[in-house]
Amino acid sequence: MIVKAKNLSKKFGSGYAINKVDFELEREKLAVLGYNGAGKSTLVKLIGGILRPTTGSLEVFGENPAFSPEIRKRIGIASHNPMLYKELTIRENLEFYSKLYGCSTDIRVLAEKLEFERYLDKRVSELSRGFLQRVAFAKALINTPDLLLLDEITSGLDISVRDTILDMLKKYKGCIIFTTHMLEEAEFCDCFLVLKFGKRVYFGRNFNEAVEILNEGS
Amino acid sequence: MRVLELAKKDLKLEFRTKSSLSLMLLFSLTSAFLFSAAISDPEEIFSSLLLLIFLLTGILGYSTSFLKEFDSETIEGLKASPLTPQQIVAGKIVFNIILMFTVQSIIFPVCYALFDVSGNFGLSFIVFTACNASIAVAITALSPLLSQSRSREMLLPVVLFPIVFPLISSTVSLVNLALSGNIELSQILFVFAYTGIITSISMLTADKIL
Repeated sequence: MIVKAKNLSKKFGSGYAINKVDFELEREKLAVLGYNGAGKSTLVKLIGGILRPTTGSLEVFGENPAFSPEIRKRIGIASHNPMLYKELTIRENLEFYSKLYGCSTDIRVLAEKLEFERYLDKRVSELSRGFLQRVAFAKALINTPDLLLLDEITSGLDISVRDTILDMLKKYKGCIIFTTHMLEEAEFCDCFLVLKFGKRVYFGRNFNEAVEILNEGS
Repeated sequence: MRVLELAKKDLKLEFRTKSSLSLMLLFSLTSAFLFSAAISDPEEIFSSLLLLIFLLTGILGYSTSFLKEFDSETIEGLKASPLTPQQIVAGKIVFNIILMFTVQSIIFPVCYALFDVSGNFGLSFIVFTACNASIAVAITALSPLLSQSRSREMLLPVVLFPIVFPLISSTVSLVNLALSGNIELSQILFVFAYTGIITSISMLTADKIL
């Protein structure tokens, strides 16, 4: 089992962002669907070890990632917060993260795949939103992770780059947890988790059923 | 090694933007000039003035490396990486001690000259470095705790002063003794023990803070 969440809850102030969510994931591609405020980003942060659960249990490769650096080493995460240092160049940012993860990935090859090799020596502060997303995606791939967490990674991207990323995701051998607003982007996934106000309302393999439940009452 | 990578990244950022360094240098130089002009015999209270300048400069400068990580949300990248919270705090401590040493290397001789101090420069510099490093550790350890507070700039000095209070009298008397070429072992040991305790507390609480 790669991810196992049982009664997983995360509370901010008086409200629950994630409320008693259960699911298990093998080496598959999971799309997390939900409208704004459904808890998608919180779930990704919990699985990525950025946040700690308030109650319930979460196991990624058998351990809670928030307490295990060794597990976090096997996870790659990209979200709408690019987690990049604006005053450093793209190359310096990627080299820094590569050293933190203790890996020796060829940054140039990664940049070529995502079409930003000409901008490697540009400061992050000079990049457009679309380029930032590409670099954030490259950062997530730097440690060739067994589990890739992507939170709204395709928002603000050109169609061609979006297609390149989706193509890379379809071919990706590891496990992927992918959140998106664009339902058609999620179709390539093996299973679907629908969240509403932090609660799980669907978990299964039928895309149409997931979309139907998501749209119920909206 | 990851701790050093984090400190190296912060140094690269700092020497590129010079935001904390210029702020600290400007503040401490201005304070030194003001004190030298306003006080008739600053040599008498050299160690106290020095401590005051570096304490206030530290409050301005040392907390920024953590605050920047929180404000730009890059702290999430560090938390998602294989770095432990202790390594993150340790990386920031290493960076701030280097920053402190850079500022002190410039300001200490300036104050020494401006305040017209006569005494053992080398020994007083070394002794003050040990005390100043302790202050840097205390401020670094406190800053993530207060970073999410709305009135963090106001809270830091309020919380910091009682914590560094035991260090103040030791620093003043140690620097005064060092200027006359002497050193009191028990007080130097106290400074090292204080630094050790503050470092241990910051490591033990890092899990809860970050």
